[in-house]
Amino acid sequence: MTDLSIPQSSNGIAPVTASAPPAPAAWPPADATVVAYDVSKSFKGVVAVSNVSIAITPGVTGLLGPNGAGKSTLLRMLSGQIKPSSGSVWVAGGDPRSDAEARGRIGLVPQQDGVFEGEKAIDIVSLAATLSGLDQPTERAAHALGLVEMDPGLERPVGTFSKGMRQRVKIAQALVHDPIVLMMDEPLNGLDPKQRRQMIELFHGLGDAGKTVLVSSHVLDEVERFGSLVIVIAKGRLAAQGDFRAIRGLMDNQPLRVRIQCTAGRQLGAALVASGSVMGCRVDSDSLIEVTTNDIRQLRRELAPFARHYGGRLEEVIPLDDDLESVFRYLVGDR
Amino acid sequence: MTPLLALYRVLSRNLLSRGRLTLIGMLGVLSILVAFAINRGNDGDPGLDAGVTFVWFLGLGLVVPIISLVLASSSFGDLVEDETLVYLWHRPSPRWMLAVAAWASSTTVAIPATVIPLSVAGYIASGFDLKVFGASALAITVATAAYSSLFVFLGLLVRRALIWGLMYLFIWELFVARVGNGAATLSIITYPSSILASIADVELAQADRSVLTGILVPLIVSAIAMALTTWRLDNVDVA
Amino acid sequence: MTTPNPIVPTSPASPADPANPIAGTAQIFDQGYRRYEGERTGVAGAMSSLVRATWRQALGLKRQTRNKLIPFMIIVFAFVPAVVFVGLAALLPDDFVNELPTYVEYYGFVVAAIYLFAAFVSSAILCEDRRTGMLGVYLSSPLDRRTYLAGKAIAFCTLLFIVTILPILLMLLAYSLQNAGPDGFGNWIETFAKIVLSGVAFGLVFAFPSLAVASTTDRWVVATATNAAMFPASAVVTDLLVGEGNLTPHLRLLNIPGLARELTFRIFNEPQASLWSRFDNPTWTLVLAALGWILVSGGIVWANYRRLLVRR
Repeated sequence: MTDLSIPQSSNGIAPVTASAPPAPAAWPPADATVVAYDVSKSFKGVVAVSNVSIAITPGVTGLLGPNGAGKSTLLRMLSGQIKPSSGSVWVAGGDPRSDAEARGRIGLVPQQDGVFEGEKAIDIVSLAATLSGLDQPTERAAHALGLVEMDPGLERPVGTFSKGMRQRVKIAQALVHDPIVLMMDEPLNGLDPKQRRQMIELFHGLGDAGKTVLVSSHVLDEVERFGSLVIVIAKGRLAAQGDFRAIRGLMDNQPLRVRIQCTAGRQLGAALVASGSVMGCRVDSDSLIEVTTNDIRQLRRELAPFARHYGGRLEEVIPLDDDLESVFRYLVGDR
Repeated sequence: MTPLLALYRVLSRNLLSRGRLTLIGMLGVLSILVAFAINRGNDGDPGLDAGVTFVWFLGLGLVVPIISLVLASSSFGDLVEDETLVYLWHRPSPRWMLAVAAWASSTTVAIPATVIPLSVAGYIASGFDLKVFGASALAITVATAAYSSLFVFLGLLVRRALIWGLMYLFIWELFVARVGNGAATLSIITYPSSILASIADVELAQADRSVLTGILVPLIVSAIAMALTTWRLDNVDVA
Repeated sequence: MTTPNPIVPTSPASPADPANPIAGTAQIFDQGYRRYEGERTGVAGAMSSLVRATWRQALGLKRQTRNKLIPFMIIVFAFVPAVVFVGLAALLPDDFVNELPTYVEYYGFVVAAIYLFAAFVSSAILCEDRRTGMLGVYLSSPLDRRTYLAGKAIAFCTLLFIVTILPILLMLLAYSLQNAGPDGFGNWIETFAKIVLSGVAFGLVFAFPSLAVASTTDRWVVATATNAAMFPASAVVTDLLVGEGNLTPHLRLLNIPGLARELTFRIFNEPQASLWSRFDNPTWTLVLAALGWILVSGGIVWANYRRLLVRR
């Protein structure tokens, strides 16, 4: 189900700022496990994140934004690593900076490569289990390493590992205590395609199991594979949150392009233009047209009747720019 | 394994780099060699005063503060530098536990590196006087524990803790504190020096406190430094 | 000859140009790479640039405040006693002014600040260039390794003289203004010259050993810590060996702070009373020892740099 928390702004794009937080009655959703309310962070006068309000519910959510947009700063505030300059954060029952129990319900994969170089993978993950107060830390660590497809019996210190292996150790230490909320900053960096696929499947599995999985990335293809829920950050401000297709639907100042293959393409195009459901039509061939529309619902309603009217057969209807890349380009392209 | 023990174990292993072990080893060997030279230079009977002066001047005045600084400031300093502090800090275990583990790891690595060679060297430099050995062992243990607690805090407080620590040591502890009584009261070195002077029954500059004061004040300083470290851990931004 | 500034747009072409009627609407903002056509100042210019850049690097000028903090704090430490003594000289009755430390005794108050400054600055100016690759950039200019090291040494020594000469000159000027300075112009000039000579000798004895240590590692913190520990260690160990171990007093020539202080006492022809300065050696051996420290340390620096692999 689509969860569009941030209302549409006057320019048609989802709001660039949430300085006026959403109405308390509707926000945050009852099942939200991560809530940031009007948080800002500045470093020596330079604003990194400005007035962001978000609520994240169980499932996999991609935190998306260009390099330097403020994704990591926001993630660090959500995990409690840094204190917001203003605003408040609530995660899994408390403020993760001051509430140890809340922190214990979070699994964190930080962005930096550094892990304890001289230690073995099993010892690092076992340490994480011990510090989370778990019994049988070694067994739990072995299980967590198994989840990320690593051999718990590896005797080499982590300092000798490849970047992909280190990354998987970092994910394993975040999973070892079975957290409710998992926050990961660029967790697929350094993984090969097969490992990426395995990790994405793992994240989906965790999301399906009711965990809140927040994954930051600047790689669109990666985020698209995490699922459809995204939070888009640009220049430190919240650009949009929700299902990216629904976000695209809200962009009524960005006409949607649709490619239509129909045996009566030319007549169909003319009829759609005449009815006003499309703003323009390019005829590529007798059977292939590309239309631009601001009202996808009207187009959807009229398409089949019109085709039938002209005796044509609809063979293919493809929206050309409702993918995440287009959404992202529209949201942050001109910033 | 308890969380405290797990933290202690990982922090101790992190401290034992080859460079630090070389420095510790070199200072230990230097101390023993100088002690032998003093012993031989006095035909094997340099006397108690020579041994106490040696421990006070070289041990408490140089080797102990430098080894404590190098180890304790790295305890958190290294974790901040390579951005691994977050793996310990973000866990639900209490922050005081992290502070105590850092202090305990740096102290237990530093104490054998200072107490053993310097007490043995003091014993040799005094012409094998057991009183000097005992006084040195107690004074150096107290000094190492107190300096370590301060420098653990410093390592979390500032980047380049080693440089700030050196400035503090050379300007305050080893210079200003030896000039005036007021400054001496506010410096660590006064108290272990007093333990050394009292037990060995010799006079040393700015070292006229009792053995009990000599032990209690550094203990209180350590407790305050641990409290400040815990407070800092609660408020620090972690990468 | 002036070089066109690439930031300033060139003037629009004349609209009256009949060959190109739309030229009046065009402006070029950046023509990309152009060769330098200004004056070339050669090795001397490069040296002077290097010296200025090294001063900035050491003192953290044009960088964030935290880069300035440590060097300026040490400089302040070196000046504080001078300011206090000048203040006391102004406030105390004349009889007590004679009890204030003499010019040469001043070094006893600031020796720790001086060796910390030497340790910090030498490491900052040598290690950082190797670590960041700036050495390669410098060596692609008219500078070679020899002139680079000479420039660094000049910059370092001049900085060191800030803490070895200026505080004592400040005392001299202030005392003179309060009629507590040397009597007569001749004596004043002689004291002035002694202060400068002492400061130079003191600075050089610290400068070269610390540069030698800094040339052995590109880790700035390691070099600073080693240097800062080396100076007091040389004093403590030699004092123990001579004082408690009854070994040859010539060992004191290895005591860097003691040797530097003793040289200043000899320049001022004052008796020394410091624990560190019980030198019975004739002056020429002290001068030879100081030269020995300078030459051996300089040799270590050169040996390290001569075989250094520089990546550009």
